[in-house]
Amino acid sequence: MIKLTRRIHSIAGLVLMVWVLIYFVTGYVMVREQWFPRSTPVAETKTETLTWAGDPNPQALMAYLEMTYGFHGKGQAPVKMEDGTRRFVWSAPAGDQEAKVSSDGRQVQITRKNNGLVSRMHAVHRLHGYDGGIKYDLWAFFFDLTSAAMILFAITGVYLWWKTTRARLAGWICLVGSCAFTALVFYRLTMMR
Amino acid sequence: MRDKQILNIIMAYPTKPVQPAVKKRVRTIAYTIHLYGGLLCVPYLIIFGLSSLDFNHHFLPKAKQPATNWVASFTPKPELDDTAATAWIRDNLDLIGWIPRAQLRRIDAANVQFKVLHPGKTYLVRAQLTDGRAEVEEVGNSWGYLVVALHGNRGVPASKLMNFWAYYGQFCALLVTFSAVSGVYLWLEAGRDRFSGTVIMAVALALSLAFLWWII
Repeated sequence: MIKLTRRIHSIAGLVLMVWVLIYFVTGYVMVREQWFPRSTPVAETKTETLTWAGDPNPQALMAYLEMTYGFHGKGQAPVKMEDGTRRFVWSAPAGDQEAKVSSDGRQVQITRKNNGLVSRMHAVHRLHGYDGGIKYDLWAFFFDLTSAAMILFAITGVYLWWKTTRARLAGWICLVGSCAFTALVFYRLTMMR
Repeated sequence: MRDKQILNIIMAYPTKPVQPAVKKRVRTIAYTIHLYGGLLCVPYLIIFGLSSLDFNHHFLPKAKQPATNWVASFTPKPELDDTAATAWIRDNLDLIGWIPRAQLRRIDAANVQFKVLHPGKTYLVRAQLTDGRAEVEEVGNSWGYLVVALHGNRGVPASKLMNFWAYYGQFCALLVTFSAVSGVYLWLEAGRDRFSGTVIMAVALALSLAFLWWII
């Protein structure tokens, strides 16, 4: 059982090491925003003539725009504005891209944003959800694996410590101390004013 | 012939290389930090894991608890503006949390309504600024909401405990990052399943980095 647990702990770590590093490094950058400030994305806008005589369905137009202008990223739900223009947005860690189609459907204003490194790290960390195509579904799957691995590391790690360490006092102090602190936080936030 | 037999015996039993003292010390330090740092981070890892899974699957309970109402008094300070007055009232009532400006409402010259929020509860406070009387509607959040809110929490205003939680989270982030690398080092040093583990790690590393490049 110890051997199996050690193997699970090790292999999960080897397989998911990059993902663990991605999430904890980007997470630290997000939490310490005063040390890692985000720069304003550089935006480039241009207007082009749109030749679209196809299906008026917004999803079909979105697919056409994606193919014609090379938009990439997670497509958001199209929005129709009050003046009749239709707004399409694709979100990607590198920067959002937007296409605004005029009410008569003859022009499209394209805006491409280029995020700085810190903004990209924020965007990578926040990327989740099983939507947006195979690329993002796969990312969400690895996100789930990494999340489950956190729980797995905690449980297998405690088991391995319990089974392989003879002098357990220091371990008990660490484990009980951290659990007691967490319990205190929960108590403070739920039971006290 | 005898020399060849002796040589075969020696070659069949390779001797373990003696580890230099420095290398052994590094291994011991890495193992100690990995082990005890890991034990310190156990509850945070579980909270991280559950909250992250919830971002994709929304399975944690989020229903709010029934509201309770109570009345309390505070020391009036009419000279304060709305922002300072609400913070003063919050502190006087021994509450902790953020006061969203967008939900601050001046009802009349003597009365103000505002909310105080923290991961565990929401308070709707109606305060009489001249009398020093506050009516509070308190609504508790579910434990699932709390777990998600603690993910990456950077502290709660007026709470030293929650500020310590924020530092604890950052400490765990650094420790897990170290543990990811030290774990690989310790596995290499242990010498178990080295070939299969190296193949797994190399493939996973290449695929992960390629995927990261593709998604960015």
